[in-house]
Amino acid sequence: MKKYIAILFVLIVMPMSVWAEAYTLTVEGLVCDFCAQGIEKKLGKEFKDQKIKDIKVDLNNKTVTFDADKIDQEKLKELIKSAGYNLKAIDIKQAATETVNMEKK
Amino acid sequence: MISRIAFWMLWLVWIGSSYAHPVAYAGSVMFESYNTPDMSENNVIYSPRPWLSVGVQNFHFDGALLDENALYPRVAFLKRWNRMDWQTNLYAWGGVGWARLGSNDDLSFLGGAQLDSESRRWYFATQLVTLQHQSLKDVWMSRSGVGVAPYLANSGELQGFLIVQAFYNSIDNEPWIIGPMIRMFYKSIFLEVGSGYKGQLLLNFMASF
Repeated sequence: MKKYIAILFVLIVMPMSVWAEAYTLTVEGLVCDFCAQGIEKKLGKEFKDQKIKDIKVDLNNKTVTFDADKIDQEKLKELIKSAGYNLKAIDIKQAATETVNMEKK
Repeated sequence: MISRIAFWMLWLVWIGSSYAHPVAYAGSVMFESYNTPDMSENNVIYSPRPWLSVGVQNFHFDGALLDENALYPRVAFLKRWNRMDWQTNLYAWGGVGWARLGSNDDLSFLGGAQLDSESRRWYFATQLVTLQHQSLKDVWMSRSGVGVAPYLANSGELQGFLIVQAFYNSIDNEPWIIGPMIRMFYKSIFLEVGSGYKGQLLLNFMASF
């Protein structure tokens, strides 16, 4: 019985979850907070339609991480370039970012 | 609390402009200010491209050999080399403006170049600037500095650099100012405070939006 309840729970909750992608960008030239702020501002402004959030710059690992709806990788590369830096690598993982409150909908 | 108030008071006093990076990311606006006891330089800069900026520069010099107040519309170019642990920048800029030297107005040309390279630990910069006046004394200025970060701060944390800087101004009675500076970064705000070997106050400020 518990097994059927668990399956039923998963089937109900899954469609209620919003699935975003977790991006990790490795960026060349990230040496200071001035660089970090420029990239954060550009990302937040250019991809606000993709519901971008939790933008974090890690100067130790030279990475920029954030969650967002699907973003065109070429556009991402161009954006990092327009901030003055080089995009070295992109790592994308699927991530559930939030559970939709059905009552609000 | 007092240090925070002092910091913001300095920020308000020196909001005029900034100087360390003559070009920033596309779409950014920067204010820069560079100051010695006899001289102040203030820039307002807009970067439409990551390699190009346009702006206005005010240069004021109040010395025994020359009293000048100049305003230059200017354009700056950047070539940057990015690597994983460092970046190197080559800037060049120029402008044509108006200079008031004593009681005379003069057409004046501004030119400058800067090479800098920085990692999270090390910083090096050298710069040459000239103001070429049509009928009066020309000005040559040069600035070079080497710095080291005593600790490595991550994004969103206060980063400090200890810098030794040499400044040369051809129209000053004492053309050389050499001394230590402390540089602080916090998010989009940059502040350098230092002293020449004769106690001259050196103060640079930069903020981008």
